[in-house]
Amino acid sequence: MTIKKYFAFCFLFLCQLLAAQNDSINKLKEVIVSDTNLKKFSNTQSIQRLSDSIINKNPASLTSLLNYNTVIYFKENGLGMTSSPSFRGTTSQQTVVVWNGININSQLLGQTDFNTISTRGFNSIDVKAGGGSVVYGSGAIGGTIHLNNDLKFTDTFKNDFQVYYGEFNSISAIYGITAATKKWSFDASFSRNSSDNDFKFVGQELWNTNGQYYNNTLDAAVGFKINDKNSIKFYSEIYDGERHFSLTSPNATKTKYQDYNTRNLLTWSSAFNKFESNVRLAYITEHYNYFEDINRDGFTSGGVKSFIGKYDLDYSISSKMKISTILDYTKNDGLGSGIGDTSREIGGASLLWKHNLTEKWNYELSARKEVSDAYKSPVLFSAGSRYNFSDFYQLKFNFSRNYRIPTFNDLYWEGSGNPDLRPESSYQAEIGNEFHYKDFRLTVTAYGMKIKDMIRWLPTKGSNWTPVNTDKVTIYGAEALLGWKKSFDKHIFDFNGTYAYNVSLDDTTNKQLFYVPYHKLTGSLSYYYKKLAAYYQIMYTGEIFTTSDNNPKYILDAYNVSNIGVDYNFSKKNIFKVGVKAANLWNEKYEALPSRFMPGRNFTIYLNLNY
Amino acid sequence: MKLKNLYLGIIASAFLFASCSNDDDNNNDAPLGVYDNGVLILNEGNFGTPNASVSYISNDLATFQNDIFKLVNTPAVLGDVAQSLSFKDEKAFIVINNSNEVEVVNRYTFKSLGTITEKLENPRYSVVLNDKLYVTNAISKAVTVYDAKTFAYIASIPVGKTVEKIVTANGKLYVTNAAYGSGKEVTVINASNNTISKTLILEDGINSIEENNGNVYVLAGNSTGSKLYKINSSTDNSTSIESTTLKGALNMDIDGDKIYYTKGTGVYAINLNATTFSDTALFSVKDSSWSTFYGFGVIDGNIYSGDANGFTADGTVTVYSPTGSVLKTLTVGVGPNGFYSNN
Repeated sequence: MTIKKYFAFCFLFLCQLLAAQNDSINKLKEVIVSDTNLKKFSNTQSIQRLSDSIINKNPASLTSLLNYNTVIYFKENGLGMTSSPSFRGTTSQQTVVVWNGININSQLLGQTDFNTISTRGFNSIDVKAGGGSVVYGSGAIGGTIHLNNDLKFTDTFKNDFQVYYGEFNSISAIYGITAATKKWSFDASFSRNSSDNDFKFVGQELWNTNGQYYNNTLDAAVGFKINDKNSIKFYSEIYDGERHFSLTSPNATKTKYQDYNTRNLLTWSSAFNKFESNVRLAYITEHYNYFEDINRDGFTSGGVKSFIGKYDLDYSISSKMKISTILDYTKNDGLGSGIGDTSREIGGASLLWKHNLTEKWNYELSARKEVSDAYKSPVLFSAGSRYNFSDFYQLKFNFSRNYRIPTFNDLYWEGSGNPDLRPESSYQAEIGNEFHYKDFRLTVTAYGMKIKDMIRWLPTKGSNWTPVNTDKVTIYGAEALLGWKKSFDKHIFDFNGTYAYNVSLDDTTNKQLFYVPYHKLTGSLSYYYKKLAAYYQIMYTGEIFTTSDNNPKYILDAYNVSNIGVDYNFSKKNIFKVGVKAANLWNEKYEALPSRFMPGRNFTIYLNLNY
Repeated sequence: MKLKNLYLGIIASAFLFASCSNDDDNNNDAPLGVYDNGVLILNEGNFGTPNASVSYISNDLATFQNDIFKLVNTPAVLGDVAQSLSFKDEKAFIVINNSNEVEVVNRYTFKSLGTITEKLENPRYSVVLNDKLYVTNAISKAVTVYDAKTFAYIASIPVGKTVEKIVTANGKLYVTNAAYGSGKEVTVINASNNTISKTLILEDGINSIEENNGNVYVLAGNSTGSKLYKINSSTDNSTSIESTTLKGALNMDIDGDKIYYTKGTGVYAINLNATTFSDTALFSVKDSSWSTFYGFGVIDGNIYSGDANGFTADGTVTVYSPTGSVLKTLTVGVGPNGFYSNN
């Protein structure tokens, strides 16, 4: 049985929730959450929820959304180009994107390209910081990003259409339909994003060239309640995109890259006596074509098709004690340039225990072991506890061991792959403090981790690069999430902020890992008055080392980028919103990676219809 | 660019490796004015980032300067992956692989004389013969020809397979059809009519080629052994020496009457007329970063080693005496891949 969760209607449209706050909000609509384990076994860690109103304020890529609303730093190779995260000071492969409960990081690269995820097809996106490999598998070290298609079972029929048009011929459009009864629920959307992306670099007589892109995403979710105790849900997503890679020198060969990804998930949930069970069958495919010269026919390509079967069984010993098991099986079949025809199988078993000792105090224990024909896996575990001292203050603690397995490229790349690689593995701990006072909430989490066997590609044999288990890393830091909402008469103010300080040290050199800023800060202030809405966002990223020796000569300057937007709803009953926004309001010259300049000030107009 | 292929390069540059920016470069050095009587060190830079550079060290190792192209030519940028360099009279031709350019400079003042871009598609190596510049191109699999004085494009010689290093002997061009440790052929091109006259089939794993006294020496190293060919450029017949105990020899460089090569962290030398490989290293260097000998060269008996430091930081060049004592250690640019005597 899925957990039923209730949302306050106003919150859906107005503010960004912190998970800790969910207990206290009003109950209005029944929603079936796609990722049940996120709610069940993450009570001792911090979860930040980004609702659809937040999603709509940002451009449709997961990079932009998270860049302006979370502590995650993005290594973006120019606007819309390949983009990978650093969450809590970890590497690109140590953050997992979870689609409706399923890990969708690329099997070839071990990471998700955050510019290949279109955000507007999802009802909500949760950002869970910290370890999560017991439930979400490989890569859940820095944190996990959860993309949710939650299904509502109330009589509904709604159409939603949004179109955004901005400079550089940037178009983003989405049409969505939601139809539901108490027995059936259907939600589907189609979105398209495209841009010529030929912006001028701030302060230079140079333009971004060969940066054009487009992508199409089709999302669908269907749920059927067979009876009180059984329900079936089916989720599907197709992503098709093409990007030209922008040039860093004017005569360089123009290249382009195509992604074609599909995700399908069938879930059967049932409840009987004190048991709840969940059967999930997923079929995930990823495929790329890389054209090393767009003027020639040749390209390289590759892909992996993955079958995942999962069985969760929960047993409630009492209202205070719950034990769960997860059995899973994954088969990955890879085929492509460089990796040939390869496959691997992984079987795993997890055991989870949750106990509410008192009304105020609970703890959770879990462990996982997997077997694979491709690598040896450590025993993973997580142990955590939460204590509510008062309505005002809550304390959380979590300790876990997590891992990141070698990718298909790491293991099998012809002539370079290293079949003897071990998974990267971590021990990590965090202490979270949550404060609530009226409309004010603050979460402060301190964390530390030790990661070993980091996999790095190095030119080990002259000109031939191979991956090796090499570095050990020590990470510590703290992050703060702040939320405050206040209304004066008909004026509503909503503020959200995040800040992280992070130190990631290579144990050998005692230097900060490159591409991990010490400081990242975001803030957004929204203002609502009757049918008028406005917001202002800032994102500050501290200076970034780009070399392993932290050479000051090669530091990227800190940058502070602001966006502003305003819209007005002309409809009395529904939504007919017209708005305008300015990105990079102060025309900051910045680059997240060397020679990868981002656009200066640019404007977008938009129309939202919901009826 | 010495990655396995471009795809990996993209992945690498996007996700794994460091790059660097010269934005905040507070190197206030003034140009030396004259960069002769020394060695030019080519630092290829990070793939995907236009941060290639050239360093200079005088023959007596007393004068050293980084970023000399930038110091002389700002705001011009050298480009993305400086792969190789060749000389003709007072000119140096710097092949910028990922920028599809050949930057021409005065080898002594380092002032830019022009940039060749026409028909360059992932250029790799170059050589000048009879006032014509010949450049190998990885994507078009062709050798392109330019006037070495006006830099005008003249012709393309399609080869249709990997073209990498190029040398000239006896009015002919010798082009290795091998890269990244695999390939066993050398294409011989008649420069008078730009046609392929012959394809020599040698041993797999060709990695070095050099002309010396009318002969062309080719080194192939692989997992089963190493083989050194001496090709008579009049007849294109060759003799060879072979070792099955010394596997995967790399980095052949001829200096004086000696042939130098490396294996692992060891530096080896044999006489030009040797009949066997030497299994005994002259000396070994410390390997701390997996990228020792990313660049290698022997000039006037001194051995230059370029350590790329995994491309995550500036490279390190160490100059050794013939017996292996360290004469100088230098921090250069990113990815030092070659040493060129500039007398």
